[in-house]
Order: sequence, then structure tokens, then C-alpha cells
Amino acid sequence: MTTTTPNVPSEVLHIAVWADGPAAERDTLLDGYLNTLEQLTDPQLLEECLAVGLLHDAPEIRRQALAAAVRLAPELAAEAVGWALADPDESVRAPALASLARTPDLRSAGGPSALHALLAVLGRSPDQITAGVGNYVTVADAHALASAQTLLADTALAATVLEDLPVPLSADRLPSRLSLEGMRHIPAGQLRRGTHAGEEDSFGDPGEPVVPEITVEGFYLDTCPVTNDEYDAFVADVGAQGHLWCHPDEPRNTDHTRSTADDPRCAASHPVTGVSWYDAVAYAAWCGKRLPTEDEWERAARGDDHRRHPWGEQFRPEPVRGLHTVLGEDAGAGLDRRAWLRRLTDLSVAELPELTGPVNLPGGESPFGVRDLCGNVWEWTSTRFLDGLPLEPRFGTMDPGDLWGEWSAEVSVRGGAWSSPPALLTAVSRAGKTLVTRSPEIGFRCAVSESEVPLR
Amino acid sequence: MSSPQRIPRFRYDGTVTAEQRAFYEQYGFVIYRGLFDAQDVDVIRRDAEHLERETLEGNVPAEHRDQVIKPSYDENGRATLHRLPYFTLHSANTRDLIERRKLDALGPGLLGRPTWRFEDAIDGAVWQMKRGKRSSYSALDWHLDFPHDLPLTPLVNVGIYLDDATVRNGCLILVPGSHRYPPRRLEPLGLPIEAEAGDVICHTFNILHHSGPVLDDTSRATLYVYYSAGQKPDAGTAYSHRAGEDFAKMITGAEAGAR
Repeated sequence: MTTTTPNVPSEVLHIAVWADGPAAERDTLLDGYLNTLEQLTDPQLLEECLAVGLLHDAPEIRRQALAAAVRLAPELAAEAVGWALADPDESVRAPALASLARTPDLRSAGGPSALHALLAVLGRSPDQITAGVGNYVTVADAHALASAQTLLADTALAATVLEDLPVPLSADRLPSRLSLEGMRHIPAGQLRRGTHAGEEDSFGDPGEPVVPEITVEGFYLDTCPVTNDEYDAFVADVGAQGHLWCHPDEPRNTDHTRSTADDPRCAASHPVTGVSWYDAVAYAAWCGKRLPTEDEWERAARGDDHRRHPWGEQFRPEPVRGLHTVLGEDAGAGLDRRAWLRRLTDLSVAELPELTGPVNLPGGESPFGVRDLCGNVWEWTSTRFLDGLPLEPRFGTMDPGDLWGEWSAEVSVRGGAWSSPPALLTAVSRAGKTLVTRSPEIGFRCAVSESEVPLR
Repeated sequence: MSSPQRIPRFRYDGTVTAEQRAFYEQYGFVIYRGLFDAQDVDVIRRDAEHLERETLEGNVPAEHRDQVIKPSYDENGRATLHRLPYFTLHSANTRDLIERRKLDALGPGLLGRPTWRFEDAIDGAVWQMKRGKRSSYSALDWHLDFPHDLPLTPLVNVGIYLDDATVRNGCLILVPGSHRYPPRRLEPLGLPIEAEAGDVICHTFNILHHSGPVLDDTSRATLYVYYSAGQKPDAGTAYSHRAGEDFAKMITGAEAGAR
């Protein structure tokens, strides 16, 4: 499509922004729109104004715009019919098919695009189409089949189009970006979840899980959380290639740009924050990886001796970025939950000189060599918070605002962040956050199973 | 349905902690592990056998006999009761046990204000048993126990599990948080709550819940004790609130002898 022409008539703008309302209101606007189209003499302006209707969300408007295109703009009609032939609404496809059947000029000018569209709808086997055998059950199917048969009978046209059809190639699949560089291997082993009997509890410790011990299969885990720099490269690639890696349930038209992108404190080498669970899942798929399960995260942090912190049993302030680091004092130590939350309430986050810090903080490695598991950022996992089962979201038709309070939309996050007190900066604390949350305190790292690593 | 893995089970020592209360407030339920030991469970079971026998022999006042679930009958025509109301009123050993285990502190602990226990009104504490075969009570459809505007509310339902509850034998399935907001979907996603004999599951009076059918040969009994922070009715007030009236219609298990 060409750039927008000035002086677009107001009737066209009205129909463009009309989204919902009584049919009578729509029809009034539609009459004005169609009358305006009749009076346009500039071919480029006419083309642009027709496109407004042809691509409209309302099927009735698409249908009327198609009829107008056939009538007023023969050079656009072929393309418009091509679009309409693939329309999911059969009440739009039917007039396109009828136009194609009764307009020889359309068949000749728009034959290739129409045949392309019909083959996409009917399946790409010309023999089956010619024989009329297949999954054809509706009136629109019958019309589409007849049109396709007519077009395929033109052997020159058929040869051109069939030669031009894309052929499946193994190269169609983007090569996996999976690299084990920067990952640590965690062998299969036992995980004793949560706090152990006899240990002194803190307010950050979870209740006793219903299944206290489990075997975790071998896997690889990123040594450090994903950084802003790494994440921004993914966002740029989605911009260039589209949402090829995204979770099928992710809200439509998601912009994966992190919410901290304009915050200069969130430097390139810091862990990415301001990303939702869907963002994290998409990034992981982009790398050929996935998010770790909560059990994998906990096993990587606690090792074979099921320790309380990645480095051992006792809290140490140096290898972990928590509230004590950000405030430059002994903040949080010994605070109960209420006092700590009061401290957070008094915090003016916008005025803090720094929030997150660079990844790869030394001294806090887990027994498997994984770093930064506690502090800096909470980390998304692939596990549903309340019951510990895999998260398989199906909220596609729901408004994200309706997900607050929905237990099945809460994801387990682990490890504590720059705003956490020692009670939460452990390998056992856990919290549930709604999967659409974008927080300056939540980031993630990626995992891959042993079985998912290709043989080398 | 997969078995839940990480639902927290808390310990109860006679007081409800701030963490437990917060969990209950947020999700509408809380699980206490092993609040009653095997001997305790036996005490309640023996009381249940005794009260069932007394009821069937006509030794329990008519107004204290169950009117909600029909009895089931075995091949020989022997009746089994599924519901025993006013349980603690007629079972001194269980009443004493409940007091020794400090159950009465759960009500104020979870509701945050003084409570009273259902004893001599609106069916009191209720023992219920469900089973799959030759049963008039196997499953219960989605429901709330009590409507929000009942003068009895708020109240907490405290279920003492006398048998293991699993997905196979129709454990409690609830929608966490549904006591705060109505579910946004017609068919909400339920969370199965598995439990062991001796565990106690407390849930709010208005959380959406149901229980599936018993798919195996076991039966499953629970003693429900209720603590209300609302108005206390006079002794003998009958169980007649709206949810109760609908209760019998919600039973989706097979009729006696049907399978």
C-alpha cells in the first residue's frame, strides 16, 4: 500500500473508526462511504479509500467494499477478490466467488491471484480439485470448487500458478539457535521441595508441599539470567520476522518491548525486567530453549544436599543483590513481613540510583555452578503457582485485566529480587504472579532438557 | 486430571498464623496436615457407626435425622446412611476430641472475630459419606455452601477427613479465589484438593466447589464442623437456607442399586 494521501474524505474516516454499534448506524455510515467512493476521481485516493473497507473488521463493510471495488476499480478488483477469497466469513467469500464467475475480465486480470487464494483455501492438490473430491461441504465450498476448476482449466494459467506455488523445504524451518554455551548441566537427581522438618522457618518459607520429594530429570540451565541486551535482540528479531516464537495464547498484537526499555538504570548487562511470562516464553523459544520448571530451578539452586541458599545454609549479603544492596545499609535483615513491606512502601523507586545490577555476581554459585539464582530479579518459571503443575494458559479470549485473582493465571516466580529481604532471598521462597505482569523486579533465565539437546 | 504437587499444607498447633490466615483470605481455603492422628480418626469412625445404628433403629429424635440424602441399600436391603446431622450433639467422644485438638480456635483464627460452632441448630456438625457403587450419593455438582446474605455468614466449613481423598475417589474440587470474585468463565477451572485421613480442609462458606464421583470401590467419609461469626439462631432452628434446599438436587451420583 502507498503512503497515506491527504484529504481523505470524512465519510471514509468515519467508516474506518467505526467498530461497534447498531446496524442502522453502520448502514448510514456505509451509504456515505459508498457514495463518496463513487465521486472519487484520483485513482490512488480511490484505492486507499477502498482498502479501508476491504480490510475492515465488519464483514458487511468488507462485502460492500468488495462490490464497489469490482465496480469502480478494475485494476484493484483482482487483488480485492484475491483477499476476499481467503476471507474467513463465507458471506464475504461468496460474492467474491460470484464476481469471479461472472466477470471474464476479472478471471483474466486476477486469475493468478484468485487461483493462488483458492488453492490456499481448498488445499493445494489440483488433481483433487479437478476431481471434486475432498472436504467440500458448504455452498461456498461448492462455488470455490467450481471457480477453481474453471481457472485450472486454463492450462497456461494453471501451469504458471502451480509452478509458482511454494514448495515445502526443510529450510523453511528457521535453524535452532540453541547453544549450550553459557549454560550449566544439572544431572538428574532428587529434589526435596521447600523447607525441611526441623529447620527454623522464616516468613518467606512456603507451606509444606503436598508432594515433598520428586525426581528431576537432567537438564541445562542458563548460568545467568537473560540480560537486557540479549532480550532486546529478540525484540528486534520479532520486529523483523514477526511473532514466530510466541506462545499461541499470548494476547494478540503483543509488543514484546520490555517496560523498562526507557529506564537508563536498566543497563545492557543487567537482567531483563519488565517482561511478562508470555514475553519470557517467546524469548526462550527464540533461543531454542524453554523456561525452567519450578522443580528444575529449585534443584539447580539447592544441589544434591538440598541446601537453603545456592551457596550454603546461612544467608550471606555479599553474593546476593537484595534490598540491603540497593539501600546501602543493613536493610531487611531481621525484618518481619510487615516491617519490610512498610520499608518498600516508603521507597521512592523512581529516585533510586539503581535497581538491578549486572548479572554474574561472583560468590553465590550453586553446587552446579549456576549464578544469580537469588536476588537481583525474581525469575519466571513454567509452573503454575498454587498446585505446581505445568502452566498451560488458555486465556486468549479474556481481557488481561480479568486475570487478576484468577488462580490458574498465577505463575511461580523464584529467587527474590533487589527489593527483597533475606527471608525471601533463599532457594525455597516462592511467590505467585499473574502471567501478564510486567515488573521491574521480575526477569527470567532459560533451560533445556538433556533430551532436547541435539546430538553433536 | 493430574495430581497437584505444591499446594501448601500447614501445621496447626492451636493458633492460626498470619501466613495461614493470609492464604485463607486470598484463596478461600487452607489445608492442615495430620491435625488428627489415626486413633482420633477411629474415635470419630466409631461414633459415626454408633450414630448411624441409633438413627436406623429410631433412637434419634426425628428432627435430628437427615432429610437431605436418601439412604442406600445393599443386595440384602440393608440401609446405609450418607449423612448424619447433629453429629457432635450425639457423639460426646468426638465433641471432646474436637475440643482437645483446639479446633474451636480455627473459627476466630480464620475469620478474625469470635465464632460459635454449629451444634444444636441448622444440622450442627454433619458427617457425610460418599461411595460409587450401590449409592445414592457419589458426587456433588458445583455449588456454594451458603449464600452471602445469610445472617449466619461469614462462616468457615472445617472438614475433618476420615479417609484419604484422591482424584479417583472424588476429592473436593474448588475454584481458589472464587469467594472474592465470581468466576469469569461459565466452566471455571477447578483445583482438586487431595487429602489424607486426619487432614483438615477449611474453606469459606461461599467458595465455588464440587466433588467428583467415586470411581473406585472405596467410600469416603468426612465430618464437617462449621464455625460462624454471624448471628446465632435459636436451638432447633432447622437447616432450611436456600443452598440447603438445593442441596439434594445437586447430587449427581447414581441412585441406590443402579451400579
